[in-house]
Amino acid sequence: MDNGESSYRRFLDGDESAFGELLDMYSENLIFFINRYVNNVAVAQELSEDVFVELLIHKRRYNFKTSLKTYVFTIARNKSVSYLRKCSRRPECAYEYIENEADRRNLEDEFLKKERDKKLHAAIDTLSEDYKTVLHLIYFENMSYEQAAAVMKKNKKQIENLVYRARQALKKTLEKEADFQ
Amino acid sequence: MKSREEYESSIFAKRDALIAKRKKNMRIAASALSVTVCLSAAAVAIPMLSEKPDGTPVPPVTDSAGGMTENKIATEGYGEIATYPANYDTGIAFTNHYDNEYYNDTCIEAEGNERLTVASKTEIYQIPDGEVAVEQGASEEKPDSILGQIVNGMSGFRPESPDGAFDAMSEIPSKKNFTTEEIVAQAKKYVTDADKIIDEKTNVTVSRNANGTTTYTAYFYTADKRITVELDSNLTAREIKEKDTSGGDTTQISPAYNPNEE
Repeated sequence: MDNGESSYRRFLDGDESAFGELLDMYSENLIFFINRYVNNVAVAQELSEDVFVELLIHKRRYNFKTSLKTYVFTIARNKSVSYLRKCSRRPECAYEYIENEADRRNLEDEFLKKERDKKLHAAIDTLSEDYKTVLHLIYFENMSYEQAAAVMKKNKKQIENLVYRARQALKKTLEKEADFQ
Repeated sequence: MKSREEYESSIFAKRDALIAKRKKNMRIAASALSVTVCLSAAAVAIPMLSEKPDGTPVPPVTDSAGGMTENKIATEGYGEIATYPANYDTGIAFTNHYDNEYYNDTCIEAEGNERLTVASKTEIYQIPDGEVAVEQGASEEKPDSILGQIVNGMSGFRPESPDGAFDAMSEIPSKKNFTTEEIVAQAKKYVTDADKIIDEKTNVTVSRNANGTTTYTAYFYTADKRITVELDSNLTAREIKEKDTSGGDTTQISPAYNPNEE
């Protein structure tokens, strides 16, 4: 399945319009994914722009041996982690982007069509960072364990364990919510 | 949230800004690199210029008053400068000769007393054994320092001239040149005891004052005195001095107290 590799190759060959195809393919997914980390849609949008800037600047860094989707989400994860690390040292950066509640709802409405997905998404948000990331990549981006391992810089076995534990944690969270309701 | 068009234009604006920043950083890095290279080259070149090939440091050309450090010795009448050793091959007085025997024995006291007191900027170089060193091509063939090589390589340097070595440095037009034989012959006319002169001891020095005038000094020796004839640039006598070199009997001084003498 083509994850945008052909579009990126055409862009590298000089077809500027091919880059638009990549934007259409990944921009919203990236914003949604990054928002898992930063919990701010405006910041997520800025960081997703930086991901595409990376594709524009370092044109020959991608070797076409792995999926472009994996490559793009790896950059996105790195950008997110760097941003969080920077903000941990400089607390005022949290106020640089005003969180817009409407934006957040629009984003969720775009991705989470079903009410069940919205509940699942809310439950995932309560988990730890690694659990959130691995469940998002597996269940929302439909990545394989290998691809998720590449994005999270872990091996396949670690991802399997992580997914198992994340599921257990998610199950407990959902059960608590059911009991509460 | 930004619209699709705003999102795309924002990405390309960021890219352009990043490229511009990179170019600026590269220019700064290139400038810093060139400055570093220049400083490194200077750090390497300066010690090379200021050292003789054997590693001996060259003494400063000028003193703190701006005058030539050894010049005042000559201009104050220390004719002994003519006894510089014959291996002083460049003939240029401001090259290294601190370690020669004459300087250590004779001039060290004079330097200590008068080094900073003479304002005259006279340049002088030695002509050993009555020969004009630059006429021998000594400085051309065997420069004793990198500084000497540079002086030889300067445009306007005329080794065939007794004072040509200084033309390029001081930019003073050279005067009429005289050979050592001409100077000696002319100076000898002013010596009354010319027939007593010991020829092999005759020495000639050429000195150049800051105002551009050149003086030639011939030193003649007889059995008991030294005659100094100073000629101007036209080989006309300016001053004739005689000094008795025979010396007197050494006075024996008895000890004030001799414990063995009762």
